[in-house]
Amino acid sequence: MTAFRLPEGGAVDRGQIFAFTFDGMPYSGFSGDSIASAMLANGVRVVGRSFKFRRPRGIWGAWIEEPNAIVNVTRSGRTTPNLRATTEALENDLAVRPVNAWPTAAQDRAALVDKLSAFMPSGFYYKTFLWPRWETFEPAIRAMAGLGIIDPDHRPPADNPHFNARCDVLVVGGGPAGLAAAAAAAGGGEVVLLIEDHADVGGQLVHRGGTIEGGEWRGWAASVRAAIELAGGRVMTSTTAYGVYDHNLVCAWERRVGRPDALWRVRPKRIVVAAGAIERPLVVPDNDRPGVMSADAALVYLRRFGVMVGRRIIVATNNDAAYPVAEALAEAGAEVAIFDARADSLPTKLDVWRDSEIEGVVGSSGVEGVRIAGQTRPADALLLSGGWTPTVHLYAQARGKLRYDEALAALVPGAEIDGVTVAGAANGAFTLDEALRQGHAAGGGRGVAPNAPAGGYRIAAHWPRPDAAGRRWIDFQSDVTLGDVALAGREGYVSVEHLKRYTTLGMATDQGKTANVNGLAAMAALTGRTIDETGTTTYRPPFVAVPMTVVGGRRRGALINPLKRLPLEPEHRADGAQLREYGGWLRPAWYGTDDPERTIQREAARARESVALFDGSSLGKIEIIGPDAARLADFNSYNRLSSLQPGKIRYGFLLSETGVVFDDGVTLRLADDRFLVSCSSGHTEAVVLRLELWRQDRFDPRRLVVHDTTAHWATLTVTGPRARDLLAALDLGVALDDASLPHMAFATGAFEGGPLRVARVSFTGDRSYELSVPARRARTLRARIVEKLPEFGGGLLGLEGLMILRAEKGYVVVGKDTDGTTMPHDLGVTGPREQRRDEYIGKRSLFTPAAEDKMRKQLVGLSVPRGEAPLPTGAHVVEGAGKARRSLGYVTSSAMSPTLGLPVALGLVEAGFARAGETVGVYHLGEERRASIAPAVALDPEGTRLHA
Amino acid sequence: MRERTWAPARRAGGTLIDKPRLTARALTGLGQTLVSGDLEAAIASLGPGAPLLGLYAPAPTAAHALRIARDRALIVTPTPLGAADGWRDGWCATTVDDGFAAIDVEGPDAALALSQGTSADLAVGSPSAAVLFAGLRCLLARTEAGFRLHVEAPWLEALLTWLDGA
Repeated sequence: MTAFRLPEGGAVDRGQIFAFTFDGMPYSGFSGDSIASAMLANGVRVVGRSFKFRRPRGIWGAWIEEPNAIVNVTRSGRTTPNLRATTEALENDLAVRPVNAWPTAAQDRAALVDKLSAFMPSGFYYKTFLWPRWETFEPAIRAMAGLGIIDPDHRPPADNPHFNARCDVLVVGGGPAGLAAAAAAAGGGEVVLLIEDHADVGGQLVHRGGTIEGGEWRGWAASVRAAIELAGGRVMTSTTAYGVYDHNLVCAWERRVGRPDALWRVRPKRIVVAAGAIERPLVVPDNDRPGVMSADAALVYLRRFGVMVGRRIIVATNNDAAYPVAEALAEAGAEVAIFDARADSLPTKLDVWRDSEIEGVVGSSGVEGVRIAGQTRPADALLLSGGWTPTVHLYAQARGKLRYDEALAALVPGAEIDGVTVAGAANGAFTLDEALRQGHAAGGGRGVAPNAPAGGYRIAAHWPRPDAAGRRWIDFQSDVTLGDVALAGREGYVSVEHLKRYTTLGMATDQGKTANVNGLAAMAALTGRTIDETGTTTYRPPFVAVPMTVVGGRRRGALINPLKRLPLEPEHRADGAQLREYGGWLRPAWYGTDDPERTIQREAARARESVALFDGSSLGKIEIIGPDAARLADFNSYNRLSSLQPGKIRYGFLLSETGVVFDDGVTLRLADDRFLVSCSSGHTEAVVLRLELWRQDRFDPRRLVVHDTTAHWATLTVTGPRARDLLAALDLGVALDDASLPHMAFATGAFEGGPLRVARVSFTGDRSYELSVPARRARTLRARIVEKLPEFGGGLLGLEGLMILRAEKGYVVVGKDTDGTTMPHDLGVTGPREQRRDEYIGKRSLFTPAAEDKMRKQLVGLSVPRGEAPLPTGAHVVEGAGKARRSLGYVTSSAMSPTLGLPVALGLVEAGFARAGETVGVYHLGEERRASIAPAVALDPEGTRLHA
Repeated sequence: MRERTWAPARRAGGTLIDKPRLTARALTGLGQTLVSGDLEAAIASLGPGAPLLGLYAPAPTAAHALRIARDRALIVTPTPLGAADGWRDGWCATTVDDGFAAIDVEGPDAALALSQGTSADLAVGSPSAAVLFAGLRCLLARTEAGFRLHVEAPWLEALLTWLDGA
């Protein structure tokens, strides 16, 4: 193809020149160009290489249907792969490269692959690369076949907004049918959202022109736009509706100039799909040569961009739509001939060859001639027009069924589906007057539709014959030929779904927009079925490739999984806290910038020796209130709670319905009819949900309420042998002697005019006090405690130090020291299972054969000799050696105990309780160590420190 | 961002976001009381005359109740009520003055932020003011110059981070 820019014409701004490169060669274009139009204007013929055979490829289309011109685009040093040159606007200083050619598209080193094409039919790699194994070849094949290379330095900001919108009528497509539908709906007072994927409305009118209501179409389009806006609607251009989802939710990608692209989620009352149609190729020999192009696309380049696609052009067609193209190109100065497959062509002054059958295309790197009737006719462009394929994707995604229309040689929408109407070319109306009529009706218009001169469209189906000679491409992007379809048929892959997967027909990034109908027609011919009987593959979103940045939107970085924040975070930061995530909260891990390991050890040791303060505000605080509160508390818990006296606290488990430990925590009985469930920080929402579920499903919700008060309270825990001394020094007005406030009891008081709750519970094994106050008062309380800490030799304690303290005591962290099979008796807690006769969640599952299996994994301690390093968490506990080595379980928690001076560890081990004292292996990353099964409690098994 | 790098949380007070087209201001000192059960009786007792508001309803400066569920609401009062927590005759109350942060979002881009934040049909509304906004459970009310959100206090920073980019 020797395409070139005409001295005038097109909608480009010739006063604004943009420089760009393709394959390193410098070129220039105009503002308003697409990358593809600019490449054509510069005479670039080969824009890429085919996916499989590495054949040179040129530009086929002018918009989203383009299968060949897939490029990497570098802007300001950042490369974005896999863009369509036909839909990307040209900008200044773009560097454009084909996705799969090296060193250039024109001189690709792998071009020799095409010489081996006879040995590379469909599915050849499934059959060929079996030995020694597929993975041996996979990297090289992927490197050759891949589309583009991700630029690791290109990390676009997470700034693509997602908008929600509602309207009465969503019109997809701003062509004549879409505009007519929108005009009718807006005229009826409905709020219309009209979405058009080009930067301007008009659709085919933009390059084919048209007269509507007696005038040039643009005047009518402008009046429609005004009517839409007057009725409260909106016209969105450069926006592609790419998917219909449940309840007719439509997602659309808006490309915005100077602002990040946006994703729209539109929930319309009804949808009008007027998405137009795409021209498909004729399946002639060598139809993939650079210079072979869609006839309609050639007209787009002429009218939109002032680019002539060749000087000596042959238009091959089987329908009427190619004739205006040929005449326009001839009028613009090209030498044009028409090869019509039909006997009765339209009247024209051009040279028409009737009943013509193209026998081949001459020119390996670009069209040099076309063979017909045994002779070669010189040409530099061959335009193919095989008929229109309606863009029915959104209708089909909404579960609409297609039917084959013989007269149109096209698959068109069948029965109307709820809330979705299809109009215009998408519904087989390929003339302007019919498109306007359909659009008007789809929009609910009354009276006469917008007027246009009567048009006509005739086509003679010219489907590919499976036995036809020559290499004929059906799917340009996936490099699937007619021969591949025939092979699939011979091998039994006659279902279109099997055909698709065996040959990859329609599986490339263009999703077979130009290929699918030809492919299924070929299969229909091959199997002797009709096209209707052959059917189509399933249409799924997205209609076009949508950038992942747009899909992901702003939910990246800090917003992908935001954390809850403590009310005292500023104070922790001021004290040098190193903050980490624990159970969905950002909490202090340790304090200071010294070596973390030494700091954590120091904090843990100090807590054992004197006193420490840690922030327990994230612990759940869920109230169960009402006359039936005790019944729900009992049902929710493995341990009975109704026997708990007001003022007292009980530790226990919550089980899932499968009897597995769901969470643990303490419950405070605030009053006869009021309990406070203090569950794990990370499980609060789930515990609230299950309480609410059972409240509503099993109990009388009028006698029972669940209130989550976690966020209202801040909890500061003072722990250590000197904890009581420190609290006494604070003078909180609460009696602290053990008779008044024993372990597992709480007292209430006041602090700064607000409530104060002091609970004696311990997650460290030492005497501890949890002080809870409303969050706004926590700063003062903490400041007072922190001020007193040095006086008692105490300090701050982060979560890492706390984890050491609780591991020394064998206190479990549910989800860490338990897994999806752990039941309470696996943790040594059997009382309720043996004694409770009433119902509670999970009870039934505790008595199944699996629950009573003697070989269940049970929580035990794992001890190693003094001087050895801690066991790796996650390491397998094993028995046997070599091939006989068998996993018995794994290490769940492990730490160096500063108090004991040796490592401590917990593990879930098969029949662990019965293995007490047994020596086992601990296998990790190819190395095995020895450990002995020990009690889970490594420090103070008598619990004397709780009262010290 | 690195996994361990989290911007410091803003404390609920004063102007929290101050962009040319969008501001967010904290409402401090409010009384907020969670009530469940017989809402009519609860409101009559704790906020006599307070309207029970659904989704995106205009929020008065005086006491009002934002409905969360069929039998649950948040009574919002200009100052803390100081009511006793616990069960009454058919309803119960729990003080959560510090449990929810409340912010007023205003400015020319407030409507855009609203359309990003929730897919709920605000024109149709709902008897419940509870809605997912920016993926977070919030109570949404309308104000003269924008909208108001009540969000559980630990999520305030996440909500503000989201609004920063809206």
